[in-house]
Amino acid sequence: MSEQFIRQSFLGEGSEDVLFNTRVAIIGYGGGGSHAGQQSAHVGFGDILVIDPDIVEEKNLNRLVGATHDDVKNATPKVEVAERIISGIFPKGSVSGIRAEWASQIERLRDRHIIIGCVDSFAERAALERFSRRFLIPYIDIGMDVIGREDRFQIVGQTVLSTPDHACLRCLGIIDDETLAREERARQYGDAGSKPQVVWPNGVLASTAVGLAVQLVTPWQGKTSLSAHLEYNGNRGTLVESGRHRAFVAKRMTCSHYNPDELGDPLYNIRQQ
Amino acid sequence: MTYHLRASPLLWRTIHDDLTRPHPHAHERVGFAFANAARIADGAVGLYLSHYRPVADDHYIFEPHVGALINGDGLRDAMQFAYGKQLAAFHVHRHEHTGSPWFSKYDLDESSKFMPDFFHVAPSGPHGALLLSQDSATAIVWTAKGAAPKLVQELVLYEPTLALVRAEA
Repeated sequence: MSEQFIRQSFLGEGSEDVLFNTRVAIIGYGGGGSHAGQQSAHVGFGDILVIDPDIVEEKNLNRLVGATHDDVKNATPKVEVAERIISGIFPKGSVSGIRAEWASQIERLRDRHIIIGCVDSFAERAALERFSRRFLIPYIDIGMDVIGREDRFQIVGQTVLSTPDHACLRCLGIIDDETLAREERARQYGDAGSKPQVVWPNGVLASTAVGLAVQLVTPWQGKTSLSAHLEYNGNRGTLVESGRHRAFVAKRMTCSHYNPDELGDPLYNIRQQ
Repeated sequence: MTYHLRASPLLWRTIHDDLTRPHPHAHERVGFAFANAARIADGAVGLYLSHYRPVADDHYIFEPHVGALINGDGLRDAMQFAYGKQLAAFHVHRHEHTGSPWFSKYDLDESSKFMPDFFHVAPSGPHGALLLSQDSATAIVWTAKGAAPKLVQELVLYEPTLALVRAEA
């Protein structure tokens, strides 16, 4: 085992190779994605694809790990920060940053083994999960919010591991038609606003996401967990399994929101390749 | 062109559960798995198993010298399914050991006889053969009737745990 990974040898004898051969995508390189990218390099994921359309702005510096005032001054694309940080930590691995909307990069994403979604809107999360299910890719979603008003705020968030057949964001009640419609109405009326984001909940949730990704391929606890919904209470500093997920698992339920007939590309024809 | 194959955790479990059931006279069971396909990065093709159909008990021919031999009805049932949904079809069986499995000469000869015929009913293909062990798998695909089979380069398994299996060239 390489010197860099000596302290994580409990992940298994072949873990360095397994992690190196695992292709991870990080969608959205902001407060959550930058933690996820940095840590994915630290643990030794050998092929990291980062997709984000934006440049670094001053308002990002409260949470975008690795970004500097020079990046603001130079209007550096966030994916360039990703490449700089990730290749600096783990130069042996491959990192590709693509400055684009993820939906324009679906062929690049289809070969991923794990997708970590760090996107803001419910609509984007729903679309990312649907894409992941279509191509049988475990999807890890993180999200945080600050609710309340005046001087009483509550920091909340969650990390979800959504693997085919297991509980999806709809099964867990995180996304439903009403939520999507409300978000769309707000967007149409220009009232979407910018959600509060701070570095430490992003760090907790993204660290949890990376841990879930690592245990998928190198399960140190004996058996892989294919499903998780961990709810974060930033005021209490707790991260606990949601009651809905606990019930889903206890009843041995399987997800009914995705149809096996919807896998792959329905228009694929080998004769046209 | 390279090929990657994936299935959901539940489908892998379903396949293993079916193939490990004892049969009244056959030494082993076989089945058919069906996949959608998609082009993925770098010109590779992803194959996504979506359905599995066991071979009915009475579609096995009594032949004690081989692991399993199925009759025309067993094959027709699989072809009908592939035709109805226009899916890639895989002949599936399992070898009872751990580690990377490999097809016997008999496996390859038999699969080569009937799997390319699936191009008649589902021409968008490809079609192939999938061999499981207790904890690994290997697959080959035919990309056209009459073509030599190609090795599937990568499989993503969920049984008994999530594993990325890369074929040795």
